[in-house]
Amino acid sequence: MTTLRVRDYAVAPGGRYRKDGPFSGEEFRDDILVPQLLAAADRNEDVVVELDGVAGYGSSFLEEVFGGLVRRGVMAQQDIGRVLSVLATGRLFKPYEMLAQRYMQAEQQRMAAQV
Amino acid sequence: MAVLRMKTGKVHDSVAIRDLVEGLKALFPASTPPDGAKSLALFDALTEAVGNVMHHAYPADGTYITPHVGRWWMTGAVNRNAGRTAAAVYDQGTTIPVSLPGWVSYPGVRRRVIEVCQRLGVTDPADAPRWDGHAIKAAVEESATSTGLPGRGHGLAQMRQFVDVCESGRLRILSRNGEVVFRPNREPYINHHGAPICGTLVEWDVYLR
Repeated sequence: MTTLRVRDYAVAPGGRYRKDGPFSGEEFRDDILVPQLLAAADRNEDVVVELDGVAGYGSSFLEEVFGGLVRRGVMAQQDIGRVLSVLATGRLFKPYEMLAQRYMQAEQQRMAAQV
Repeated sequence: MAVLRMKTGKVHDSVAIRDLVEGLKALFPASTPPDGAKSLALFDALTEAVGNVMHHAYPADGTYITPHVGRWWMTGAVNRNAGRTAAAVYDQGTTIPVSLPGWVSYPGVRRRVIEVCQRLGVTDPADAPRWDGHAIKAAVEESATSTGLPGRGHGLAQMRQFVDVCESGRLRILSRNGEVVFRPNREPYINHHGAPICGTLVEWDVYLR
């Protein structure tokens, strides 16, 4: 199992897109999360993204990472669900865990409705 | 009242936002620190406010009331005794009412403003400056129903949610000629001013304890 702690990459997560500035959701997703997910899938392992220990999250960052992961289609949706877990261990960060999961579900539903 | 030095930038500088929040937290007496969840929510709200500047304030083909320098400005203050905290983000951009037609959720916003015009029996165009307060209110409410997808202005909802998390205080948004004040569990206060603010000012006045 691979554990990605967001705080190791960005103690202050930024905006949605790379062009917005450093520590964006797009940057975290494409440079950190996707390569780890693909490598883990090859090894038949899991990836846990741990959300605790940062200054907070704008909804744009979380949506771009987790909703955008589904939207980008780098992996089949069922594989994302099999390989990826989003986790917050502290009480303060639990709402972000729920938001991240909601963004993935919302994007799955939106894409299913388009088919 | 202790006021932090103004910060400014041209990119989404989350470290500057984090530093502002940490600076505000440091102004509280050690015996009565601010609430952890509220401090996180302040970072989230400021992040979305700066994100809105990046995505909507300075389009290349935008119309501007005055010349601009394409920046955001941000500051905050704490009344140490009362635990009352203010934070504000300003930009000189094209304003929320002017940028709304480019938002994905604009049809819903426009419908809400037209409903207000019809209720009042007024035939002004819905995008006239006197309706700016209603347009801002509608944009915030419409954004709360969106999914957070790009282009939906979902950040406005998170900016308002912060006041609800604090359970007291207010969010005030001034943009072009409009003004809206949101308070928890109360109808928003809507106003319009004869002169525009030449940009957008977002201001929170809350209790972080």
